[in-house]
Amino acid sequence: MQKKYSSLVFLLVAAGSAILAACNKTIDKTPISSLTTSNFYKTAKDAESGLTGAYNSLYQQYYIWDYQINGDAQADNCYAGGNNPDNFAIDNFTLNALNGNATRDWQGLYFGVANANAVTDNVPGINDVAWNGNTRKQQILGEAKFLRALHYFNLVTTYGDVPLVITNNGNTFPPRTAAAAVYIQIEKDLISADSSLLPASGSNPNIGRATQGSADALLAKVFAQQGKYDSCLIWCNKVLANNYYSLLPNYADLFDGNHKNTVESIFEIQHGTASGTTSYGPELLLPFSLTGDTYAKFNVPTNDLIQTYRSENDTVRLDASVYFSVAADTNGAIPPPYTKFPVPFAYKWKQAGGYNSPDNQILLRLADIVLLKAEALNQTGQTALAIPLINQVRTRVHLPNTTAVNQTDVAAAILKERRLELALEGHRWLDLLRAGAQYTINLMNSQIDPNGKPLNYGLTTNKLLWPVPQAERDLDVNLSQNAGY
Amino acid sequence: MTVLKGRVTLSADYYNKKTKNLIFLETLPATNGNNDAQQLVNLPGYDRNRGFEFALTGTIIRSHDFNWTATINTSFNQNRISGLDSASTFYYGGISYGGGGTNQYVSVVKNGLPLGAFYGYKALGVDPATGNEKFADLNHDGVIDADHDRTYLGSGLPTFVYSFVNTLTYKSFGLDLLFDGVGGNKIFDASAIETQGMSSPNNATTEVLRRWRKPGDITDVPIARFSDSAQNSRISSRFIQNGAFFRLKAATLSYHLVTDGLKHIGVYGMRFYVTGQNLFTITGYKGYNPEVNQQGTSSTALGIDYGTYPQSRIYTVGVNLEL
Repeated sequence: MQKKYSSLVFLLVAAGSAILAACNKTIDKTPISSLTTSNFYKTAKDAESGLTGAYNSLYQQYYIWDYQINGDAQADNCYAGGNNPDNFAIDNFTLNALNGNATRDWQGLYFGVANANAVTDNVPGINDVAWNGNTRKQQILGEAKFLRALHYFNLVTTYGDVPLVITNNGNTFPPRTAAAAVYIQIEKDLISADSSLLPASGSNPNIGRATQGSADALLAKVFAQQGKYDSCLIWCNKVLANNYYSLLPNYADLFDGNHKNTVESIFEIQHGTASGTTSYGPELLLPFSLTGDTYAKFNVPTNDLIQTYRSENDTVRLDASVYFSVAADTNGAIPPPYTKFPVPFAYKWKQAGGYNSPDNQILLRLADIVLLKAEALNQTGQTALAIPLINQVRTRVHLPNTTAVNQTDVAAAILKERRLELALEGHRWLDLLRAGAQYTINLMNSQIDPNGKPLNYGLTTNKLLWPVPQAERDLDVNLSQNAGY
Repeated sequence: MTVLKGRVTLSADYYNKKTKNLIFLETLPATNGNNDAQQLVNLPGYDRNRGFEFALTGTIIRSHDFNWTATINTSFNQNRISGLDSASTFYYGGISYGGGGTNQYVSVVKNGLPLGAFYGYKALGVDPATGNEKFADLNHDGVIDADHDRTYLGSGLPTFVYSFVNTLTYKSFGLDLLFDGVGGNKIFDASAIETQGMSSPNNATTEVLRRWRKPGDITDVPIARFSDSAQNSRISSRFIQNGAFFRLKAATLSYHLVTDGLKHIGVYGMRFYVTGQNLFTITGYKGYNPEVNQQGTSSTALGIDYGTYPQSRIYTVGVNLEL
């Protein structure tokens, strides 16, 4: 009896050990009842759904308005405004590794990367008769690669070295990859997208989807940011050779909310009135007098920007970009460092809609590429060819031709023209970095407030890059930190 | 063990329990896609609980009119994680403030520490010269950094838990008293990051009135600085408090009436009572309520107060009919 009992115990222990021994570190059992990326992708329709999911990552905070904070408030175009201490930290170069925006942007952009990776991981294995005799499968992959490249361009310019994750089945705890290698992957993705995508938005039945023009324009920007102006020029030329694109005759039309997806638009995030497609961004920018909303407003144009418009007599672009709230607008708070009305507010998105704006976000447009080509020509010693491109952009807004002639003056003229043309659209910070780290530091540290007092930004070389969020470093032991944080 | 003709019963237990192959959720970095994506992990080490439990029941007074019985339950527990790679740290108890997203973790699972241990910087008080919180430079490299200067700050797990139950009767009156309490645990008051951080234009508690204002000020509340660039509100012992409390959890006073006159309608007795819950709490904890757990029933993030509701004091008056 005793013996029988102990052999039963032995059996139980043996069985238990066998079960335990079968357990590895990670529990890898997938619930069979729920959809996962590994059991979802089977048909052409699934591939389209996955791609739609990848595009939905453009509805996150980064693309709603954080890119404007990072591009304009971090630079000399805007003050932080609003009431979020994290935005002020970005504006004042005091941000640290606990900064909420630095954390959410990292998390949001990698969320976008993972959604694009889900497509590039799974779509190649799908075969569907719906793709017989057409190139849709290649287009889907190209669109996903464009989105991945867009997210990585934003990551690498913000944080420097970042983990390069191009499959969702890779290292769970990836280390950072050198920025140069990240750029190489971005270029690879965009060149692959260029060869597989339809030429321009007009030719893609799905409005707002990446096209060959989008990939080429982003390539031009990616090469410019690395100082590779020869390559930048090639891709600028390809965009400009694309018959679909031309500058809109009337600058204000770009930002009146009634002209979406125009012939000037190269990549545009689609917002509408339908649930899930609206944007809360514009309500956070537009003043009380236009919204009836007393909440403190963000990304307030700097006095320096306003004075630059005025010294150029650039009324067309000033009026299309900035709204002045006057003293009669009671209840409208005065955002610091302004101390009195009239106060300028960002006005490129005009419909607040009670946090449900239908206004699109243009991420890439032709005027950007025209001026980028001028920059590339000037940087490669072809200054005389650059000047007509500056004038092309100035003519549209009824400004006289530039008086700049030599390379240095033309470089300054292009930088200023880009500022006036693209203000509030999130480009300025990268424009400054291309003009040089020391140039940026000197410029920012000499900024004065509307009353003429120094703003004392105290920008240093280390602050040109953001810290890797500490919360992410806690979760990924292989993530190193940037110098100075 | 029962003595004094059954009037006193004592039971005592000692236990030493090792739990191997614990399964728990590990939060993954954002490079895996979803924010706060988690994967199930089989804890490579083990979690040990060791302690004593006592239960003492006694009839203190037994007479014709007056009876008093009482029970004391006490348990002492020590919890430790062992057998884990000393380099690995699993983070829990994420809190988010400011711009959004989880930007700080309060708790860790780490070898040699209790489950869900508080982990952060050791605060040394406010520097009278600058108004910033000073933190201990644990590796003496002259820099305070996340990689080398964070350490164990205490545990949200109590080392002892007790309750004291009393039943008193005098003639037809009854009084039931339930006291309970815990000791040896810490609370991380994350709410104070919001209410005493002074990094944004939000409501603050009156503690901030004694904040540092000018060089030479000696105080325990740092300088008010929008956006907290010096990270005075980082996870540190500044927000750790003693979590011990002793509470009158419930008290009921009742009167029992034999109602012979109502037998014809089927009522044999009536009991009138008044009950009070959470009548008083003795604690050194400065938050609303020392019974906190922002993370619900999580065993890896314990004792975090982040907007925890205060306990309500409840009074109930009632009549029981004995049918």
